[in-house]
Amino acid sequence: MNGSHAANDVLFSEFDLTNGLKVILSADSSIPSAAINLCYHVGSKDDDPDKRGFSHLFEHLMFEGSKNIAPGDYDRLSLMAGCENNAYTTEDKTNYYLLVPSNQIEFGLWLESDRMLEFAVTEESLELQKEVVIEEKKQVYDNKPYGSVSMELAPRLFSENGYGWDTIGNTVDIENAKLDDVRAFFGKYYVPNNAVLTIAGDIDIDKTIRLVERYFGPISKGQNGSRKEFQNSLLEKEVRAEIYDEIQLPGIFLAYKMPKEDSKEFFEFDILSDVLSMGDSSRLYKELVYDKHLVSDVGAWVEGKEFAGLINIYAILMPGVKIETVQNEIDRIISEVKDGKVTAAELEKVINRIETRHAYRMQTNLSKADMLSHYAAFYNDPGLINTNIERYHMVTLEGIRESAAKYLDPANRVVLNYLPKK
Amino acid sequence: MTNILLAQEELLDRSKPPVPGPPKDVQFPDYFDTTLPGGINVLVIENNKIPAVSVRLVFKNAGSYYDNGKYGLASLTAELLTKGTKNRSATQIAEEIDFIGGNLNSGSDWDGSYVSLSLLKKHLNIGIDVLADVVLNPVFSEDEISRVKEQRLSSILQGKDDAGNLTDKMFNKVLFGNHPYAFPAEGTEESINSMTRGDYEDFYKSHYLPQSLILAFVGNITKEEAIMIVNDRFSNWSGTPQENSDVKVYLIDDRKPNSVDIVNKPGAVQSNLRVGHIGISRNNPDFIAVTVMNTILGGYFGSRINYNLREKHGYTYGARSGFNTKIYPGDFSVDADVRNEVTDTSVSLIIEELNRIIKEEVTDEEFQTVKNYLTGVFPLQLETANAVASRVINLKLYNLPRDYYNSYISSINGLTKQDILNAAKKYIHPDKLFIVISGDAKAIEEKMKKFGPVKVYDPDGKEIGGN
Repeated sequence: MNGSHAANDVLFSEFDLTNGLKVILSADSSIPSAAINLCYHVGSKDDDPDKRGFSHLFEHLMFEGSKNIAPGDYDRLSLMAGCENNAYTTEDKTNYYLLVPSNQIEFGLWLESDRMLEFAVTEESLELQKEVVIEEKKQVYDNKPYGSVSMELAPRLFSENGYGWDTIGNTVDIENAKLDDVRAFFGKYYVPNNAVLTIAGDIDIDKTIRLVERYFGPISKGQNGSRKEFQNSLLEKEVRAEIYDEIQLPGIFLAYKMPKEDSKEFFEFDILSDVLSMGDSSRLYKELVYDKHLVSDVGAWVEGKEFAGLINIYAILMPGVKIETVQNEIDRIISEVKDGKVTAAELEKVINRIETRHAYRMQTNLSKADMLSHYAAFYNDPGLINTNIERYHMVTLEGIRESAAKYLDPANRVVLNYLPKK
Repeated sequence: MTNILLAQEELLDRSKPPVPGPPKDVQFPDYFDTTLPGGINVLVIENNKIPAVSVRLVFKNAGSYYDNGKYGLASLTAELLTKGTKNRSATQIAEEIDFIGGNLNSGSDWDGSYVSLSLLKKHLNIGIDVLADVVLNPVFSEDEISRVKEQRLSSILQGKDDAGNLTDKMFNKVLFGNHPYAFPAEGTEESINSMTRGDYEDFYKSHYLPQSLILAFVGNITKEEAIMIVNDRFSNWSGTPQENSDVKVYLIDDRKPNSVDIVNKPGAVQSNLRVGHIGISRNNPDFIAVTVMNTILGGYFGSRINYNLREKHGYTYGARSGFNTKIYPGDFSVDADVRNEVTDTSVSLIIEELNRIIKEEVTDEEFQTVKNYLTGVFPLQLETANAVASRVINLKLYNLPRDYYNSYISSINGLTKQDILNAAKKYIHPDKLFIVISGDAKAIEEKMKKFGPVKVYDPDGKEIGGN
């Protein structure tokens, strides 16, 4: 149990099994339910360059049966036990969760441990899930206005590493996936020493420790050190591209490279992105939407990844507005930020907003479990769930100005202009 | 350690699921409910898990149903509330709320209009000042009206790129005929351009009334604090209820089922489809039986339709069916995005499933799974104060009994397979389906003719072909 804590801090216990599985338990009996969250430290940046989309395809396959669970039974049994389940894949992790009624915790551990225990995916399941993933790509990316932005940005931002493709990957690579590759992927990454198990909710800590040991303890440890690591580098020359899409209104999408998720700059730019676009009083909204009627929609946000980070800005134009006009306005607003025009009142406003966001994130077992797993997997410090907020309080106007001047440089960005197909 | 674990592994039988202990009782949280002399219905759903409060206002009889030909009126009126008052400009409202890290939103749906504020408890007083001001003193200035209109027109234009949005609009149009639900709640280019300041002022005066207001306080707040706020801020508010004599319950009389309507998106790589007909209202006494029946049919991941289209055939990323319940009967429909080549096959599979659910009893396993699932996930629907508040507000909005959620689980468990079959027979009509698709007409039109006469439209809804 961690030591001193503030009134609303999340309390938790953590321990490691001898096979290397990190375990975090956090009790909260406000509803008779618990979140069982398994975070594997593998994501699309770990895909081989000729197997793009593999880690995400693999996420689908994890629902296709394991040693003692027949194909289709993961879902069938979990629904029968009154559970909700799902998973998601990012560049850096693959995260699975099961929300169980509190009398079904042992069931949940049985179900989850079996798919870490032994690989049993069939050729048939693989072929079917390839089709499902290809339809997912069409629905979420290809057949959606501006849906291809992340796929177009990634290779232009990261030509030299695994961030150079979107998590969804490439249709041909997905079609070419072989069962042997999939099995090897499992052996390399789906091992207890590459995972964090968090259980948050209506649990008895001692009893849950024994259950975790019983179901996960016997699983063999895998090899260490299979991870690719790399340095983040900035761009040296602005990259611009025009993309023709099935859209009515042109859009501008900018991304600047910046340091990774736990860097000082991440917190500065998280605040700055809110100064730019959070709420109707934010700089981009107030000037471009409200005062000048140039754009219908505008936004800025940061992405903190394990080895890199991005500041994203986008705007969808009002009918008849020139794309150069909006680009110039965005550049002017950014240069004001670089000149130190952000005020103390803006900083205080955004800190207030972040405090509200922090409080609301503590509402659900799933949200708490997801954060505890994340901070344990990447920083070996689940306590960041409570203490990360302090990093925001440490941000200064001077720090924002310096980082903006360094990273919000046109030479360090990719600019995509989305234009209507003729 | 290793030896102990090995010993455990010998005893551990992983071949079948462990037997669960008895389920814990789930209690729907208690809440405070009173109607004040001025007519305001105050609800307090106290929950002290996080130091935050939400204040949610729901105006009954103030939704798009009452647009009365001026499509988009309810929606724009709600949006304009936060865009200037007698005391504050739009910019001042935004600055005050943003500064305290709060969220202030207003909007509408078919059944009502909404204003909501969420923030940390420590900023409540400032937030309430602004909230009361936007609800009681909106000014609907010409400048803000033109800004909001311009934004809305751009959003309508953008909607023409979105396959799901095109399908929804066409589906409502063919399904609801001349009923208000047939028309887009966001408005049309024509209706938005034709509205004037007087329209918003009139709508506000006749629909934003204390007598129509459900005012819910949610989270880290006691009923004493809540009542004090209401007495302080809203007690002098009086509105004259006007008879909504210009609004009728329209008859739905020009529906032509067994037809196919395609909104053409040349080059689309998937067909976005909706297949269905008129459904039920929220206060239908069979609501829970219909929910269980629909869950088996297409209401969750393990449903027949999702299993068939996704897990068995790989035609789609996901397929769902649902009853869209409102004050008046909404739609029942099956939705999916499927690849072009299997558009007609997917519709055939969906129709097969609709026929099966009305002809045969569901299996014991399907029935028990859905009962367990709905019971098991029920606590998750009570996990946040706002989720509980949404349910309490619905009880009031749809005139459901106070103990509705206390008996929810026993109502589910009391159902029989015959009840499910009866609900299917009564509310699913595979012989009277409307089939609407947005997709590449060239690739799919010919094969869709087997389902009925096909019409093809452009994204503006103009008929451009068919037979």
